[in-house]
Amino acid sequence: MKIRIRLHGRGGQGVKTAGRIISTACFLEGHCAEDSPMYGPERRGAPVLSFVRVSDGEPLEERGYIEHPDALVLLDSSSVSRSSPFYGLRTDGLVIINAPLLAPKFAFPSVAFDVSSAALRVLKKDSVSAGAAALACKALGLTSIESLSEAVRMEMNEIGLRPELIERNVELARECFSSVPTVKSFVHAHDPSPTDSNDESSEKLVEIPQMVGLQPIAAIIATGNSRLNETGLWRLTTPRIDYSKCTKCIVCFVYCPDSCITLEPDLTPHIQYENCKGCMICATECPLHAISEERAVPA
Amino acid sequence: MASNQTTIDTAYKTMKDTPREEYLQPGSPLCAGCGGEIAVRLALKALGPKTIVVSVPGCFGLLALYPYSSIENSMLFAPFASGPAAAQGIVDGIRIQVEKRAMVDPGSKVLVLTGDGAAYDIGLQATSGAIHRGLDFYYLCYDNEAYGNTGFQFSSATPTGSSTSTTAVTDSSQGNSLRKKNLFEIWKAHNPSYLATVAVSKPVDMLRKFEKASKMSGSKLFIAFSVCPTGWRSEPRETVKIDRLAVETGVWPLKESVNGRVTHTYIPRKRPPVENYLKTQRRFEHLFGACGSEHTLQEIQRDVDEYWRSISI
Repeated sequence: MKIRIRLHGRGGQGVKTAGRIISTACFLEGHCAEDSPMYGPERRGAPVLSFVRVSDGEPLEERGYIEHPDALVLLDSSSVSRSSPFYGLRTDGLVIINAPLLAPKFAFPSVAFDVSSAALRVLKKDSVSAGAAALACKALGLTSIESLSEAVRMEMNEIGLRPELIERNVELARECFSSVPTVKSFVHAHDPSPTDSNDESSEKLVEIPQMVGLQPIAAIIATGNSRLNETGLWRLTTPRIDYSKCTKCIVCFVYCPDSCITLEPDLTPHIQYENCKGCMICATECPLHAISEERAVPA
Repeated sequence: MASNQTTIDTAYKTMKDTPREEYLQPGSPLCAGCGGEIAVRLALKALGPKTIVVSVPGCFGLLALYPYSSIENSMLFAPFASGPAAAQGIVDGIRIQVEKRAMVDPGSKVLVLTGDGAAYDIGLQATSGAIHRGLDFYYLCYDNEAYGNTGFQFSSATPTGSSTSTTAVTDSSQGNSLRKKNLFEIWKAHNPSYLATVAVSKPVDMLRKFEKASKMSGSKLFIAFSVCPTGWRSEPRETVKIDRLAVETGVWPLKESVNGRVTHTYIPRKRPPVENYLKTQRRFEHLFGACGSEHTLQEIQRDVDEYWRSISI
């Protein structure tokens, strides 16, 4: 058997760590495993990917990005509405998602569990790497709970977490592990036949599209056009101004790192949500506490 | 070296005088809650539309990431060590064009924008040369105290006790054992016309410093305290709060040097313990708790106390 898993989430959520935990747990279980994160200018909140390949002894000779995964792990349910994480997923592929309820429109078999709520309860923060890794290990029938727990300890120790936080992550992983069923027993499955996959033959390990430039220089001719980059999609929390409390002191305007707060001539502030990354500095600094926080809910 | 009590001729009296124009547009790829981004946004507001920005590798190289640019101003991307050398080229190029009467003097300002990696380490030589030649330019270093763009490796701007990906906390190590390099004094030794430290929690102070510098010719240099939530492992929402704590605890002195004469533009009278500042960032978390390092904490506090004693306010 050989399983290719692609993880989708946002920078800071633990996408890379989740991949590492799955891979280490599989290794401890006696499988061959490798993992790698997407390399690029990722930032906290930006969409990020990581990749895990597992086999039960067959050497893993592939490297690079996974274009046609057997399973997807979505650490953030809003990624479903935003990008197309299902790209290249095999027709019999499994979707494992951190969400309270299963979105009914999936064309693929899926497993859902609200890791975020469990993490907020157990860890006091929305840090879902151990929980998401546990969902994958269980749903795909990859590892025992012991290998998973040990992998969580190893990887969380590696990133320098305090011992008591590591144990709480193990607790989160165990809760998630026991909360979902094993959907497919990949461990005993054979390689899928070519007819099961989406154009396996054209798979490229790293896809670098050829772009035709107008000028032989690396220049960006338009200045200040990054508004088109919808960084509002990074937002995990949304600031809302209560205008009945606002005194137009413009503190929020001065401190917004991204120039996302604009002022009317009478100094009434407006938040521009297309690009607001949800850093919440405005809410922290507002002297009147007139800016509240909404947890961004996926569409 | 007393605080400057004389009345200053300035357009910036309160935060409400912050210019409304935006030269940094929304949608940059920088992290949510980036402190350095606030610094460059305010700096560009003070310097205005005729500023030509020179950027080098570092987080803010991402301000122009194909196919987007976040800066309204013209921007040149130079090699890591060469920001001030590229600025010299722009200044000379404009001067020659004006001398040849090929263009009317545009009255432009050249701003080199680098992180602490380029300012304290990799580009120090080019900066030394440029200040020595008296190049008429601005330099803004957003100092987030490590190589933030590549995964938070230690730089010579990393403070004592900070864990970074290359100064990990182990049984035998309490993070970075070296002291932060004193770039202010190194730059000052070159006799630039203007040199200042700035912090975004004091925006009026910051705007005034850029305003003052823009009335002078020669090298005008700024070191901006830049909270880095990703590398410092702090909460993005607390960026300005942490910045304020750095100023109030005395960790980040606000000062300027005008033709070699140093003045502190804000004196933190109460100076709460540095713990108040350090505890906001998980890069220092190993200093606290049962197995924390009392010794390192005392060393950090002692350095801060010694600094404020030495300036005899």
